[in-house]
Amino acid sequence: MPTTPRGARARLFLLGALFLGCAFVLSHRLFTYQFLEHDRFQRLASEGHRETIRIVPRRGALLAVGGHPLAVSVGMDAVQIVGKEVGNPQRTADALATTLQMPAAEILTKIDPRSDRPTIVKQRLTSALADQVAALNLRGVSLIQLPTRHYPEGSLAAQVLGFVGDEHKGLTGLELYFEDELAGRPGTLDTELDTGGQEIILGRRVLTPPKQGSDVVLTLDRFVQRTAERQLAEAVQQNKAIGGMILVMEPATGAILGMASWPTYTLSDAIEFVPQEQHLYKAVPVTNQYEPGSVMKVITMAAGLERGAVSPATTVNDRGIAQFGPTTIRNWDLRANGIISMTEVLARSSNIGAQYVADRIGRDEFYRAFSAFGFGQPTGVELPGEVPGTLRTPATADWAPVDLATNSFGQGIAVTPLQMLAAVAAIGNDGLLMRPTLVREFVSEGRVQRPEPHTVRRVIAPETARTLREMMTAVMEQPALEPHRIAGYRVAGKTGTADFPTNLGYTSGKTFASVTALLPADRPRLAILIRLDAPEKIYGGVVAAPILKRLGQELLAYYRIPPAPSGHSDGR
Amino acid sequence: MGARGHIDYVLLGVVLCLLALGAQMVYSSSVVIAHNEFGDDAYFVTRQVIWSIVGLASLALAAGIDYHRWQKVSTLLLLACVIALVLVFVPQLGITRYGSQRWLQLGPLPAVQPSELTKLAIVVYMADWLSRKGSGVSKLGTGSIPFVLILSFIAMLVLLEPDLGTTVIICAAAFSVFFIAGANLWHITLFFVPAGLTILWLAIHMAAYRAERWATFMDPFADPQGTGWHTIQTLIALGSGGLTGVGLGESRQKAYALPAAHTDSILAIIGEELGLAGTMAVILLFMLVGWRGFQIALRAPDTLGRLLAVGITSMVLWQAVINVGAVTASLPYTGVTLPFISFGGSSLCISLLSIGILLSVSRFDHYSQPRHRSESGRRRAHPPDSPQQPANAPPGSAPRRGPLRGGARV
Repeated sequence: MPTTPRGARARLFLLGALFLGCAFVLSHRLFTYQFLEHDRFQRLASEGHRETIRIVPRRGALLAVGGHPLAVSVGMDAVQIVGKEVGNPQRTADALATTLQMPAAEILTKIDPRSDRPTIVKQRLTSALADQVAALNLRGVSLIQLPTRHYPEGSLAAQVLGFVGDEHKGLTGLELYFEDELAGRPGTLDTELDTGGQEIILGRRVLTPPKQGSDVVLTLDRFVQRTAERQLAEAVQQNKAIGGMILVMEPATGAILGMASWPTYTLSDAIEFVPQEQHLYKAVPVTNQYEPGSVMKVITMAAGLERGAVSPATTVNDRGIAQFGPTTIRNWDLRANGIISMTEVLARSSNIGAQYVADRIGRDEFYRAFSAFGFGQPTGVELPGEVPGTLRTPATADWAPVDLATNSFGQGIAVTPLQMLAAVAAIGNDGLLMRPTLVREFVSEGRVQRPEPHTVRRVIAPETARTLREMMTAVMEQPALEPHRIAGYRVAGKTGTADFPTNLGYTSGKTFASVTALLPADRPRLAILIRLDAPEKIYGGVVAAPILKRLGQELLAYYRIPPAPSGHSDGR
Repeated sequence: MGARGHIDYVLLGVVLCLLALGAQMVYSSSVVIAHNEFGDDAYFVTRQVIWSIVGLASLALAAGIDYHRWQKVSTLLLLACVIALVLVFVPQLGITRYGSQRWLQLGPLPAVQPSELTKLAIVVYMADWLSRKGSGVSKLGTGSIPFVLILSFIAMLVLLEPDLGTTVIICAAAFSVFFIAGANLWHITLFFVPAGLTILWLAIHMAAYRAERWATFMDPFADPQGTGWHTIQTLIALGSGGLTGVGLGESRQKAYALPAAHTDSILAIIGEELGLAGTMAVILLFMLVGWRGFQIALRAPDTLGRLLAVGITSMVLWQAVINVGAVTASLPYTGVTLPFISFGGSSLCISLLSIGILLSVSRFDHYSQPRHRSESGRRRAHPPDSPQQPANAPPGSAPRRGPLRGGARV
């Protein structure tokens, strides 16, 4: 009888047993998963949960003296597309093309419907344009902040600065040389991600902070650089030259204040690497080597004076021609100067005189001196691609005895413009050769590191340097250069005219017309090298000296260097 | 009318344990989502605690009133539920969440799920209706056929929400009551079981997502990134917990990997954070609920009390079985909460209210209340059933009587 209490009790037991059975089965399931198969599920659980997110450090800035920015990184909007999320690629491309003013076909190539990785369509959007893109509200299209290199001074010092390419990495110039310092070190965030790829709030996270990129404060001065570039551009145009350069250095420290070269490239925020323009990206003052010509005579003279081989008053009988085995050497003007002093050897730029000095020094000492001045070795300046130049010595196989003679007046030897300037600057620095540098200080996360000026070695005694500067002053004060003198200032210098090598040898009639100068001569604050490549009028004295006058006047005024009070006195 | 006995303190204690564990686990499993979506780590647990207080108040109220009073309102209650279930489909009132129209918003009141109340209403109605049937329960015309008509009407409404899980619970609880009330076993085996299986098969195959869930249930690893995702993540959570778990608050799966971590899948998080120890504690607590519930049924002074006790106990237990079954991939996923533990206001309140009614029945224990009541003529026709102490303990219970009996009066 089901309705009797006894029957009800039996049914209660039966229902209870059913629940007990359920409890047993479910407990067994739990036991299986949580105990027997625990290892397997633990493995599954640990898979794909942790992820290391890269924290991109800020790229350091390149700054001119005074902290004026030359290259800085700023975040700018970029448009990115995730192909997989795009509903209709054609319509998306068309809509973007109108807004971004790019060909739709180009956008279409960047939409891969199978890719779930974002592709950058366009970078460096103005905020107005970014707003317009956002307003389009297209599926799969989004904006992302990407670091963008901004060059506030445009093409100023373009070859020195260089630029960055994809992934914000330096490609040329200082951007390449200081890549490690500027880039910093990325940090990591070791974290847990949920299935949507979002970071889990309150998850276990290990943060390794990034090392932000260091700012590099350069020795470049905006005014000096700008003036040098302007003067160079004008001079190249006036002289119908194919190129040239102007380098300005501080003799006491080796700091490069200005480094202008032509031809160069246009540096803009939107610059992209063009393989055909690769030669323009190089910092020519360190990557190019040339025969310096007569400018080298001051180095020869320095070695002669230092070793007591000659004194300013020592005379030589310049017959205008000398024979070295099969080779005949002549003066540049093919004229004989007669009996002249060493000062006149420099002033008249006598090849025979220079050769006489080298001969008096002796070949071993001569090459020791040239090596000491840094020729044949890279200067170590902070620019990529620096070449060492070519200095053949008796120790090298291809040296010939005539090289001693030709080297003494700057032929048969190849130097970089910066090497030449550094050697001349050593004369301005009372005989201490300084390593040329472009860096004033590194600023890393608030800490300032200022590298000390690096003295390479003493090349001549201070007295020798002073004597030589007097002789160089006489060079610049000779009547022929009278129109190019800077009124009120004594300038030590030397002009040079070197042959322009072509495939046919030195027969083209084209020259490197150059002048190097220390000013003021008594306590040089500036060392300058000016070179014009293949100017219409070929001689350094005619071509480069006028540039020196204009540039010198501007720089002396800028640095407020007072004129020499009177005569040949010490300047202050 | 005054009850002479005391409420079952063991049952109350067990339920409070479940509530406390639930509040802790709701916090632990929802903290990430609460932080991300609401900016308040305690967003869910605050609401859970408030609903627990509301639920405990209704529990106290229900425990205090004589359970016979429910007879007067049982039909009304069920009618109200039917109306509410229909109102859910009125666009201005119904709220669709997670793809189901289960919620009803009436004025400023918080959104409620009528299907939750329907569970209790059908149990109360069936207990009342079947207790008045007497031996008519076992007859086809007065028992089985009216039962199946009433039940299928209600079940159909709930199924349309759509809420298959609650439908199954309603049917299971109603059948449990029907079975204890004296259902004809021939009718059950020959008619109800095949019909039930047919309806279940139709329910599964008429909705695409149910067929998908069924396929997933059969082989969750067939599509681990798609339909199998939930099941696999649930098992990973459980399995990675091991014996003692990864530690309270340390769950990795709760952060978006596991959908509904603080509601339907909360047991998985318990398993992950507290291990097998935690999940077995939950099973044990529900076994204790079952033991006390069946004890109360055995000792109920009348059929109504017994059927109410059985109906409520099995309603809670079936829901727990279906939930734990889904979490352990023993049953297909139907979206049923774990009573007292999962987050969810309607479910929690109804569960606690039901326990209140159960506690009310426990006060009328026929051992402490051997005398007949005088005010109920109907009941006099069916005197208390079992005058002796049970010879052997019912399944799922300890052999002794409740240890806390004899405490303070309510």
